[in-house]
Amino acid sequence: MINCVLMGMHALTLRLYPKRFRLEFGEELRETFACLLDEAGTHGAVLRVCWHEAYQYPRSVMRAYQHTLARHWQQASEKELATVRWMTRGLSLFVLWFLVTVAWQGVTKDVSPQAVPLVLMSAITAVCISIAWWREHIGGWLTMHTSLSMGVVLFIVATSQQGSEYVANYFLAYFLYIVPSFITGSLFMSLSKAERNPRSLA
Amino acid sequence: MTTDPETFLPLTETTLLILVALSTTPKHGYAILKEVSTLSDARITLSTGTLYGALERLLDQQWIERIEAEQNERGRKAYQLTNLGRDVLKAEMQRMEQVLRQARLRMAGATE
Repeated sequence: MINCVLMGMHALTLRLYPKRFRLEFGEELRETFACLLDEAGTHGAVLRVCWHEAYQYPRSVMRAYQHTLARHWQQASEKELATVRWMTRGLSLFVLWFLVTVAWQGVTKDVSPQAVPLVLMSAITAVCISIAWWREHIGGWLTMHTSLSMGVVLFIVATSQQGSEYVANYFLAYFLYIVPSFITGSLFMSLSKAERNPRSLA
Repeated sequence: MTTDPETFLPLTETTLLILVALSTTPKHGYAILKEVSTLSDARITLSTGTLYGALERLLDQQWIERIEAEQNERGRKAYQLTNLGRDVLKAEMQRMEQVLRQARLRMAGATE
């Protein structure tokens, strides 16, 4: 009974993978997960299997999208690739503007002690985005990770504060620069993988 | 696409373990998961998503290929190393051996 429920949940999680990946590997993913559950037997072991799946799930979905994008762009012409690169750089400028504004306010105005980590993270992410202009792979990777860290910092700051104003600012910040920073980093990384580098897909 | 194995090195640990797992006989996904876990003394446990993501990349690189398994394997798809995959694995083993040899030499020198 519990295995059926878990299989159903696993099938649902597959929906978040890119369609092409799902069509190619969906059935095998389900079969392999079913084998893992069959082998697990006890509740403790089943929990461990589910924990591994859940823990690695966000990363595998993200990598599947990155790989799909990279593969798509590898087949694109140089001109198309250049267009995407400049669009990514345009988005990065937009994000950079928000990040620098936050960092600048932190320097020129008195900010609450709770906001200091956020200001610092904004400055670091801005530097990472600037690096991505020259070194797409490393800069993109750094931007993705610092924006994730910034999201965590902001979540901690917002949950430690009371009042709807903070919650509103929290959502605003996520939509204005944390999510776009993450997308920018991800795009830079995919672009670097799209280069005709022999190691690009390994 | 270049076929010089040296240009692909160094490999990530997951990639290396998957290639080692496939170095003997063709295996399907579940068998690869188990083999990777055994090879790493259960230090690395891949999720199904991570495994098939890695297999997708290896298929694209033409280091492995998909084969239709026999009927007694419930018709599951299996994977095997290609010649290029085997060459890459050999090159990585040589690289690691060289690093180990150098490390041992220096460690022996340091303890004398």
